[in-house]
Order: sequence, then structure tokens, then C-alpha cells
Amino acid sequence: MKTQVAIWAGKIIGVLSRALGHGGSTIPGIVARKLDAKFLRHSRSIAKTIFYITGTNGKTTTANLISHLLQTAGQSVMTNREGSNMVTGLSACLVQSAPLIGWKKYDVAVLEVDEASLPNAIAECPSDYLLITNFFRDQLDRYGEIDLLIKKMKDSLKYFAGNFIINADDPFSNRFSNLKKDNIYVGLNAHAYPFDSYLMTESRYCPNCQNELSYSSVHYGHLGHYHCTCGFKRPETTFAAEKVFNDKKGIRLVIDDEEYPTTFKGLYNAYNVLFAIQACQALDVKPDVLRKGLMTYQNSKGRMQEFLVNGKVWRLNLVKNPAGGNVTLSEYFEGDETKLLMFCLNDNLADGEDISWIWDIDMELANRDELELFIASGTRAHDAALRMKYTGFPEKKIIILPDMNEAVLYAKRFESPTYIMATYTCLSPMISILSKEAEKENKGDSNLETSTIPLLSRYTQSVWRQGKYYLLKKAMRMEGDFSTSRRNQKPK
Amino acid sequence: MIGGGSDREQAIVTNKLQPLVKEIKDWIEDGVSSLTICGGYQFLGEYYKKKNGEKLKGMGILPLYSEAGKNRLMTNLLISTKQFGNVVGFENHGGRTYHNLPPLGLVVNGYGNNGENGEEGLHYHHLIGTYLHGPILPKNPRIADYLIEKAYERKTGRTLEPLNDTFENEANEVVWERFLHKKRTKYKNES
Ligand SMILES: [Zn+2]
Repeated sequence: MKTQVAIWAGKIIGVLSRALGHGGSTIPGIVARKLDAKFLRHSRSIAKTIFYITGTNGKTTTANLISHLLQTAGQSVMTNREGSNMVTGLSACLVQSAPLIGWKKYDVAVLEVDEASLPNAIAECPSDYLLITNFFRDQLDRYGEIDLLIKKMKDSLKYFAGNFIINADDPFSNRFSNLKKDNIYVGLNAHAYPFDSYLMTESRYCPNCQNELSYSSVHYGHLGHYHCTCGFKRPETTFAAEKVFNDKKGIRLVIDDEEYPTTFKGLYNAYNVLFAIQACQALDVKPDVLRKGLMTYQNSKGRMQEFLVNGKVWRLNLVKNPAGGNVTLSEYFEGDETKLLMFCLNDNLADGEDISWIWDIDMELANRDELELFIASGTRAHDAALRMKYTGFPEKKIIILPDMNEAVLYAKRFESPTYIMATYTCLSPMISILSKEAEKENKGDSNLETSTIPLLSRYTQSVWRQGKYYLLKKAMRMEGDFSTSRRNQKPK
Repeated sequence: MIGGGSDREQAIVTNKLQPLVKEIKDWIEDGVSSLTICGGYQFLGEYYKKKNGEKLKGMGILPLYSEAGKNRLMTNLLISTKQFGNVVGFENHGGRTYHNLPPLGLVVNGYGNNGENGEEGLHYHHLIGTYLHGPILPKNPRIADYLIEKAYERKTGRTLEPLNDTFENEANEVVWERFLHKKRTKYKNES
């Protein structure tokens, strides 16, 4: 009865909070948990099989892909929305998925779980499968918190009876190996990638003995085939991609001699695809169904999303940590076509208030001749610009436009396409700006000629308002309207 | 330059550096440019007292000590300094540091050394210890220039030509403006 009341209360609050204009994605969960403390345990009542997906990068994509593949196979799936991956968010998802009376049965629950929330989620409701995608060091780790995080996660999994699906190529994920026998290990075979792995800036040290790890093959970041003198080494994979090809439509994986073409752009997505296929195969989904699902999957918004602007394909990708930044850049600079790069950097709570992580991105990768212009945008545009300056990229090709609308309007004046990296809270405004641009494109009312004048007036206005018209001068200098000899002057 | 790390990593470094303490002390007294941040700053001192009362030994180079506090002090930190003007960055530390040496600056927003006396960092000869990262040098070019200048002067006896710091100064000003008016609690010694 307590549970039923908790669900009703949660549902009512959810409706109210939405009516009041709050997103309220976790509020129903908070309410339900007030009335029924270990509310998550009811996940068992709603789904026959439960997957938890945790790790630094790839949670959302992997969870979405598994859901889609299982649905293609005709199974009913419950899943949580991105950002609702803490205990309250998971509880909210459960409240919303439950009918008013009793429990509806789903075949599968596919839930992404925040690393720090995993111990609580496991304590309330252990999953059947736990997918550990990877751990990347971020600014937190400067304080040694990744060690602590992994220790807490492992402590909570001491009596875990489900199955681990572990990324064999990640030394951090491998630390979960000694909890159980017969783990499932996914990974990429040596040299499965056709492209050069770029230099990594982060350290890769043995979690066992702190000595530097040796690699016989590096995939990206610290992911690869590693071993240490102390005996710590990459485990044998039970499920591996032999090759990953970069086709026009997307990446294609070869696994156990089966070909799996996908719609994913970006080689780093190989791991997400590999995890998803393995998870579905654990539920006996056949290769033909998987292939169909992979080709019909629509990537989530802001994940290597493409927009047609000025007849050119612009690209947008979410970047929330250095590892994500690195793979995005390597993807953007794979071809040597001329391009603009835009970095939209906000420092709201959801982005992380400490923006020093941008210094760990290999921005040097972008310091190339084919880059016509670097546009820094967002609340911390100046920090993004400064980071780019330190790659050695010419200062006069760096523009600071904190307003994202202005940044896009400015970029539109160039013939070359713009590739955009955006932090979390920049993403949805950017998607709506670009969708509008793409819409104009369809209606055919946008061309370079007419957009120039309104652009400049808009730009001038807000720049004047900020009392920072040196930004405008800088912009005009780019157009050749302003003498470069006065570059270093900053009028007050 | 010494950065921060986890307790475990810091302990390894402290042990490795122990035989060099005397030499490092002499360098500092002789005016070698040094920058120590966060954990690196704390470990210059005598000890770091953990929450459970256990004392981690520091390098004992300068008379300062740190104690773990209840919460992490984590925010955008703005300090005003006589020598370097407005200095900006981010702080994220559990330890509170106490000393009677000259501070790097006075806290305008954030917590600083211990969140109590309104002081941040230390500046002794040409050594700077601070909780500021973010990172500190690019956004505060006057500090970067100072460290380089002093090192160059010590080595060659000559002075250096200044660089163009427009971008750096803009980034500094933007952060200063953005967080200047945020509410903060008053320090004990403030009325
Ligand atoms: Zn080892």
C-alpha cells in the first residue's frame, strides 16, 4: 500500500510540476522515495531483465542503442532519459513507467546509472547485467577521487550475482574483474582501427602498482592493449570487434566474421556498438535483427548531429570532458577540407563550474592550416579562446562571441562549414538555433547576400551594449575593413 | 612547479623528495621561481591532518600546516593582490591551510586558504603557493610573467620584453566581472 501511495503521489507531483512549467524529471522520484525509502527495489516488479550501464563516456548512447535494438527484436523496454541517471532520476523513471494500479511488465529495463549513484542503485535493486563502459580521468581525478569512486563502486558489488560486461581495453574497468569469475569482456582487436591513434595527454599508470603501463596497441586515450610488469594486463576478450571500418554512412564492425554496418559517425562509437550488440546477444537477439536495428537507429540529438546550413553540412557534438573533446576533434579533423571550429563553453552546474578541464583537451589537434577560424562562444567563451591561443593558432583567427546566436550568424558568412563542440547546457539552445537555420535552408530564404547586413547590425548592437567594441573591430578586421596595425590596441 | 594529487600520490612524492628538502629550502631562500598549487602547496608545510586525526607528513619547507575540513571549498576564487592586480581561478580543496607568511592576496569571492581569515595563498621570495587553478598561469599573465622574469633574471641578470597579453587579460576580466557580485559569507574577522 505504501508503495502504491508513493507511486500515486509521485505521479501527481510530476503532473503538477510539469503544469507549473518545471521540467520536474526527478521530482516524482524524490516524492516517491520520501514515502517509500528503498523505492528502486520495485524495478524487479516491472521488468524481467535489468541492465545497468555505467562509466564516464558512452552511457547514454549505449543505453539508447540497446533499447532500440531490443525494441526492433519486438521486446518491450523501459528506459530512463538522459540526465535522470541518479537514484532519484531512476525512481522517477519507475514512477512514470508504472500504471496507476499494480505493475506493468516490461521485458527489459535498460537504465544508465551515474557512477556515484551505482552503489545505492545496486543496494536497492541489483541488476542482471552491469555494463562498465570506461573511466576517464577528469578534473575530479586531480584530487584522487576516481580511486575512491571505483573503490566505493566495487564495495557495493561484493555480493553482486548478476553478470559483468566489462570493457577489456580500459585498465580502470578491468579493476572490477576480480569481483567475479566468468565475466564478459568486450574490446577491439589490436589495430582494429584504420587510423593513427593520436597522442594522449593523460597519464596511464597501472592501478595496481602505479608503474607506467606498456601498450602494444592504443585505440584512444588509455584504451588499448596494455600490460604491466606486475602482471596486471588486458583480459582476453570474450566478444571482440576484429575490424572497424569508417564507411560513408557510418562505422562498420566485424565481429565473429559477421558484418555490422551502422549509422554511427565517429570511430569512438565502436565501443558503444560493441557493448550494445553483446548485451542484446545475451538475450538471444539474432544478428539479422541487430543489423536491421543498427541501420534504423537515429543518433540522439547533439551526438555528431548534422545540419544543412548555407548548403554545407555543419556538425554538432556534445563535449563534456577531455576524452570526449579529443575524439570529437579527431573526428572533425579527419578530412582536410577547410572548416571553422566553434567551441561553446558554459560553466553552469550541469556543465561543471570548473572549466579547467578544457586545458586537458588536445586542442593542438585543431591548429591546422585548413582551419579558417576558431569561434569561442558561451558564458566562458574567453577561456575557450585562450585555450586555442595556447595551441599556437594565430590570434587573429580567433573570434570571441559569447552569444551563440551571434556566433552562428557570424560563422554563416563563411563558405566553409562550421563544426561545433558544445557543453551540456549549450547543446539544446544550439540545436534549436541550427534547426531554425536548417529550416530556412529548406524554404530557400537564406543566402549569404541578405544575411550579411542584419548580421552586422545585430552584432554591433550587442557588442556596443557590452561596451566591448574591440570585439567588433576584431571581427571587421577579419573582413579587411580595419587596419591590422592597430591589432594590439584595446579601446576602452 | 608542484601540482596536487591524491593523498596516496602525494605521500609517494613526499617520500621521494625527502632527501632534497634541504636543497629545495636553499633554492627558495635564494629566490628560485616556484609555483605550488593545491596539494603541492599544502605539502610544503609541516603536515596535513586528515579527518580521522591522522597526520600526513609534509616536506616541512615552510612554517605552515593544513587540516581537513568538513566540506570541500569549491568555487570560483577571486583575489586582489598588490603586485599582480586581480587574480582569478577556481578552487577545490578539502584542506584548510594556516600560516603567518605573507599571503598571495585577499579573497574577494570564494574561500582561500581556510575560509576564515580572508587570505589566499602565500608569496615568499619568488615562491607562490596557492589553491587557485583554472589554470592559474594563462588567465593571470602577470604571475606567469613574474615567475619567468625572476627565473630569467636570476640566470642571466638581464630583463625580458613583455608579450601581448590581450586575450589573457580579457579572460581574466570576464571571470572577475562574472563572479564578483556573487553572494558570499562574511569572514569571522569582517564586521
Ligand atoms: Zn602494475
